[in-house]
Amino acid sequence: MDSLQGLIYGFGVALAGTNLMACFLGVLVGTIVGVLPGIGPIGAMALLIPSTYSLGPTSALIMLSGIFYGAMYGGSTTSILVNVPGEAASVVTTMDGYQMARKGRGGAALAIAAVGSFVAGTMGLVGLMLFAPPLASLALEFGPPEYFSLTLLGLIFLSRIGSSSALKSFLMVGFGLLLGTIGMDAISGVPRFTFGNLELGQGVELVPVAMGLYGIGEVLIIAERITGIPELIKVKFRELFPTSAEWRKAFPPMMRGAGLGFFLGLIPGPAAILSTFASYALEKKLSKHPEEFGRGAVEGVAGPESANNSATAGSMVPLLALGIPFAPPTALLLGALTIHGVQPGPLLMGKHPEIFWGVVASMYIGNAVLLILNLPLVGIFASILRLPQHILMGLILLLCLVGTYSINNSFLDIYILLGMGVVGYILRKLDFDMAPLILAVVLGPILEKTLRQSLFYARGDAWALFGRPYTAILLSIGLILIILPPVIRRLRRIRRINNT
Amino acid sequence: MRRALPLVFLSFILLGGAYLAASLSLSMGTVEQPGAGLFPVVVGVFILSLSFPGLLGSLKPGKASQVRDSVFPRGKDLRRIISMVLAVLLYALFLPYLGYGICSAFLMAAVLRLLGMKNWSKTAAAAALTALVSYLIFVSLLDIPLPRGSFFS
Repeated sequence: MDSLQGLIYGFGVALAGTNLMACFLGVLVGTIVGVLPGIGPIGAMALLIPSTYSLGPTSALIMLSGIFYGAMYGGSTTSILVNVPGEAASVVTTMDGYQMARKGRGGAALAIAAVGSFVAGTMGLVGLMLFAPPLASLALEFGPPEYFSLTLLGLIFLSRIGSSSALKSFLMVGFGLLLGTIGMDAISGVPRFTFGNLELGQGVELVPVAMGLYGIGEVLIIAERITGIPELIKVKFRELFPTSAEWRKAFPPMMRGAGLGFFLGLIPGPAAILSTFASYALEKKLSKHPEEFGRGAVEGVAGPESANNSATAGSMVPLLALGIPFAPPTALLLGALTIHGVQPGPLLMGKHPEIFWGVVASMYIGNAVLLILNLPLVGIFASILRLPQHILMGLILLLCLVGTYSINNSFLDIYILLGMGVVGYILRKLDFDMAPLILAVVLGPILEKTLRQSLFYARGDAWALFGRPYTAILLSIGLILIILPPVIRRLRRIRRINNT
Repeated sequence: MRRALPLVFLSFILLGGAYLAASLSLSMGTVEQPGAGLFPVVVGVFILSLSFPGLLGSLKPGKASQVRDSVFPRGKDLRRIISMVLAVLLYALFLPYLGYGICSAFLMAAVLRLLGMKNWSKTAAAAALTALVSYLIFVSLLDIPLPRGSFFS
């Protein structure tokens, strides 16, 4: 099946009743959690995984990915109208979006953000269709050593480009790997670190860990300060039309943001967030009037808002083609698929074309729905912020507890949720990045399984294991990523001392 | 809370040490056929090899990390956070006995009061309504089996 045939087939799948409903529900929830500062796409996805049990794997993935890219749209609304980013990938938009709103161009900023998100999201999907099939074909040649190297590289990459120091990020990887080893050993069947508890024998679930770190952790951070209801800048429908000069300024950054975001999405890391900062820096550098940035520059909204949407499409490529998530939201998508008994990877397109092409087509539909939701209905979404904080936090807390309990009907999961919430709160306050932890919980079992399989197949011969071309390249990149930054830092320090 | 960062690294040393000790009791297998203990041993060593330099670094005088400990709340704000955690802990403890409805109403009431709702009658009404509506949504609409409480069955 070529890409065009696949897409036509995918539209047939995505437009089927349940899948269309799942898509609409996903992007709606995504927009709402994007607007709300208390809960991000990761928390919302973790929360809704149990509710997808009654759905098929295709509908489940359509709904959960809808939350992921839908949140990128919703996040810009509050950044522009309230100066409060709904989620981390919209922080950059506050710089110029809110300034535009203060100058009476809030409607134009919202329209540019929504259209940019739509254009870039659609371009990202074209990239996904072009990149994923050949990458999956290439991955068919991969054996356990290549998967081991790729997984290891993913963890190293994320730790190196994360928001906290490398030491803290690597420690989070270690903690995540530790959590991933709790439970029955998948190969020998030996229980590990379960203290005789049968429930722990099933292992630590991803959902209580993710909900604890992001849901409960966030509630505790918000609960530190009691704040009032934020003041909203009101925008009328007729103000939602940018001038032709604003469109001309916005178009090139949208295109650049789409390209940059997609390629950043392909590499491990918090691509949606990184892409916005990278796009903003790029636009400022290319601008003839960099002094306008931070004072309401159209380019400062168009570029980053396009980049984060395109990055979500890019980050789906490694998940759907290789079966390896490189970011926490795609790790949750992997978790959801595994619950439904589907193993993503190079064989997904052949074995389950309805999932791959159905999800791709649903993302086209979802992007169009989001454009409609986020422009004429922007006032309704922004007014969600008028909900008193204590009610909102209470509801999030209840949702976290119910969502966690309903996975296995386990009381133990609630204790894990609370424990991870407290751990997440403390670690986040001390600048530890949670993304490597989440990813390591998901990738840890893959890393262990592929390492043991590799050693078994190689009969203990390290050269047979690490001397394979792809393995050697991937591990060399990983080694360079570990060694190079401290070496560069030391050289710079020596040069600075020599200069003084 | 002055030494929060060293305490965190120390906790990781203790966790990593206990984990490594437990891992060593598992079978390591051979190089050709690794056992269940090999990977955990590597992870345990990895955690310890990062936690020790982290602890030493955080103990250096004048480290920015110590200044950043002020990010933790104090006084009333800290008490609010601890009370929230305790409320959820009590929720988890009583949930098997009292069931979802009663526990959720109490949790919601506690959260509303802690986060600034002053009026008791409004708090009680909002908490009861939230528990009831959420129970109907989860159980009747989404078909999620929530605990009814052994006390009532």
